[in-house]
Amino acid sequence: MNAFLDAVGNTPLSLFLQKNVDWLIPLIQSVHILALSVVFVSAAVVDLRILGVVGRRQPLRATSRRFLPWVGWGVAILLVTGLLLMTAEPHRALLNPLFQIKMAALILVCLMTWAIAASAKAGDTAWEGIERRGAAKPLAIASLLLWAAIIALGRWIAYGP
Amino acid sequence: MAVPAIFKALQASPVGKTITESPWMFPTIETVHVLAIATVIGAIAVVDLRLIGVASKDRPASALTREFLPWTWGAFAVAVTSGALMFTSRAADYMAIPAFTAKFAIMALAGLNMAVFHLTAERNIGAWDLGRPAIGARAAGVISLVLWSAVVICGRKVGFSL
Repeated sequence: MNAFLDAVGNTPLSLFLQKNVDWLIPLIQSVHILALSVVFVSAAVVDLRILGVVGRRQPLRATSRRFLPWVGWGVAILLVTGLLLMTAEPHRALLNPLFQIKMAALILVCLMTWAIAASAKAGDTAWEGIERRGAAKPLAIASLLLWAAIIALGRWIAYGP
Repeated sequence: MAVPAIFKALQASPVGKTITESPWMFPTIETVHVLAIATVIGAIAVVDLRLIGVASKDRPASALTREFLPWTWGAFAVAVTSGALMFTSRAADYMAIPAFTAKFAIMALAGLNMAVFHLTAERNIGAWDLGRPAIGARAAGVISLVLWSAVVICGRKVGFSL
């Protein structure tokens, strides 16, 4: 694993990023933060709609059609910028347990979001009917907490071992 | 640039010293700050994209603004509080960083942009609430997105300048 990380750290891309660390890394991190803002709020709007906190006059299908594509595109930008940041400092992220937990949480929350999107798209009345919304609410709460935890873990990677 | 004594005093205050000396306080406050700014930026972007006419076009701009503004201000208050605590821990150091002062100048411009929008295009919101936004509204949306992105870039640059 260490040999692989050393190799990544010696690629031309990694060396270029390391050489321009003063402005390129903060810039990539800023794009990462802007993308996570879009993802976090878009996912939260759908979750809070499921919980009945916001937008109750809008059907869930409309809310999810408006906001969930932004989660998908946002995560794509996060993966690209995240990969660039890892390339610049391969040892900092991949061996860090906080990073590994973050990625596990990300996969989990993406699967959950996909389930919500598929269900809303199919016009599943389970998400609209009050009596059956009980099943959706824990999913929405878990999604909100997971996104917040992913952002928190991202910040703590910098302070990790 | 000489840093006024008050910032040195702030940094040496019990609150400032407690945060600096604790191994977990600064990262925790920073995490709260990131969650708060993510909410602020994301919510502002939803409104801005509606003002530009890119997203949420099926909803009145006034309804969308009413729905998102309380969340924006609530999160902004959290961002200001957590930011103030981080500032206290290194007040004199922060004041010497150009990106830090630039960040606040740009936030002032973003506030001015919002005020101009309230006094001009928003006065006439009935005319464009459901259709194509007025030119003033579209301009305000673009300017807001650019300025808030610059605020994030400056904020991140501050972390690299300490």
